[in-house]
Amino acid sequence: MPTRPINPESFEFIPKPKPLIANSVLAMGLFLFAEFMLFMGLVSAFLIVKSNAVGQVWPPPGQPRLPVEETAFNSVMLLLSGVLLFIAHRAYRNQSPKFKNYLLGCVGLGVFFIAFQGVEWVALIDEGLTLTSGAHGGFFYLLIGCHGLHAVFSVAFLAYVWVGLVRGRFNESAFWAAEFFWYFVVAMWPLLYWLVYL
Amino acid sequence: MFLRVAVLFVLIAVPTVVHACPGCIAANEENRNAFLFTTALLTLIPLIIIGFTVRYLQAKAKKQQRQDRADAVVRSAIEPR
Repeated sequence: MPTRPINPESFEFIPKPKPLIANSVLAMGLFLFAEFMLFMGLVSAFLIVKSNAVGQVWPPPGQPRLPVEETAFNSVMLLLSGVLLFIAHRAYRNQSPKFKNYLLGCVGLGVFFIAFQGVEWVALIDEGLTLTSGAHGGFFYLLIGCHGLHAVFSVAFLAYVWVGLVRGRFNESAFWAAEFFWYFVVAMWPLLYWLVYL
Repeated sequence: MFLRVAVLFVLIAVPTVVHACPGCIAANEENRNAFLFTTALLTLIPLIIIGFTVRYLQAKAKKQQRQDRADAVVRSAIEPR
């Protein structure tokens, strides 16, 4: 079959359509959706076990009390880190170099939150609250530990993105992905605090 | 044949009622409510999230289309014929 010669000038240049969401943000969204369902599954199990407690008393008698006030202070630090991250992104969009300081402050508060939790855990273990001490201890370490694990990875990711942004290796989509992850960690915390501590 | 029918009758008569869902036989009201609440929660959350995501993408796609059209108008006005 004879082929017709192609005239390159007959083609119109059509630019590649811009994706609605950056790939990194989409991937993070899918990951966080799965993580959210994991948390909801754990919360559901916790609610059912709690509702079945003898005499509807929770924590069960004889179990150590959780440090409600200290954790409230730590919660404020976590929420503050979320606010700092929001300000950091606005500064980044306005091309203000201050975004580095805000982002670093957010990472610092995240590290503080994790360290504070660690100190609390050591005290609770000393008081006898362990994974095997009962349903209370088991669910406490499962729920709060799962959140803590997410916080550790999220802070590490934020720090990594901070380095990338400072060196000019990353763009805004990387910032968005890390930010999305940290907002998830911050947003999950009040729910867990309310359910587990109060 | 008789033996088979007898075994069938025994099998029907012997078992007690089996409840597949603990929510149906939960001893206390609170526990039953917790089962119902968490079932609803885990069923509805994915649907809500997917719904919001689709709505967000639709809105964003529309906004981008409007922007592209406006850009095309500006380009055609600037570019020489």
